[in-house]
Amino acid sequence: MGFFSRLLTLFGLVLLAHAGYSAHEHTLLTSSTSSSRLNPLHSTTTTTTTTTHLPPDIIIEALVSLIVVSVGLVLGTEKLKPISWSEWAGQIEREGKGRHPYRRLEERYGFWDVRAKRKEFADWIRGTDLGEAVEAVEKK
Amino acid sequence: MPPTKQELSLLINPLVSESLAHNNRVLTSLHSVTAFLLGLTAGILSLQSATGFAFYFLGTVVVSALFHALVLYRSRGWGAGMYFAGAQGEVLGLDERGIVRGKMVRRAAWRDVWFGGGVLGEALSGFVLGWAGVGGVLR
Repeated sequence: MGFFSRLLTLFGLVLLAHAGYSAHEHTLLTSSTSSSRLNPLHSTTTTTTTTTHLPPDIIIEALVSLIVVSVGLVLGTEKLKPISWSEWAGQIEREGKGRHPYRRLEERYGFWDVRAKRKEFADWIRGTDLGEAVEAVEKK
Repeated sequence: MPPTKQELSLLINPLVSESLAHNNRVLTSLHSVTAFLLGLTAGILSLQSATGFAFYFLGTVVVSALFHALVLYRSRGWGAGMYFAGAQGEVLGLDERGIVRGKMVRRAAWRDVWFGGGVLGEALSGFVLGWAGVGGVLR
């Protein structure tokens, strides 16, 4: 939906710019004809106060482009996030474990293997000179 | 004094303030951009005074309707109550014991979609900016 909405927005903006340029041209045209038609004494006042009636095709173009841009912008909005805690947490859990707020609780160690740890410690202490020093202390 | 339904809703089904802020930001940015474009169009059409403001409200209604349709589509028909807090986060269809029958949606959340997002604040000033600017350039 992202590419489509962007294309739609761009198309609408081009249409809107074209409508704006057309309105500008139309204003120039009407003001120049009205000033040339009238005598120069009134020309300055008429050009500033002309209420231009735009041709209907410019009006339609502007309105249609506005609707097209609105549709494009609405379709291009970011995805909304659910605000209820349960929905939000469920969505996160379904998406994956990266953003899981309770991962600390979900992934815990089981029981600590005391025997393995004791053996590991004994191996380590035998591997170093520390073990002899401890035995010497125990013999005393 | 027993807790009100709104208090019960927030206690049992809390809101995620992060998501709420994100949704409101999305809505506000949409409204400010579209309001500016509405202002450009109003300037091109050379609308004056009350007609311009009427145009703004009409355009905002159209944009809100489109956005609401999108929200309805994305929430599979559950509506804005899934994404906006509405009446301070009160859950629709909550009974006295705090049990919700059916899907959990917030009450009166459509108000946030239609009147929220700075429609009468920042978006309106953006509209006036575009309106006056284009009106000044074109004429």
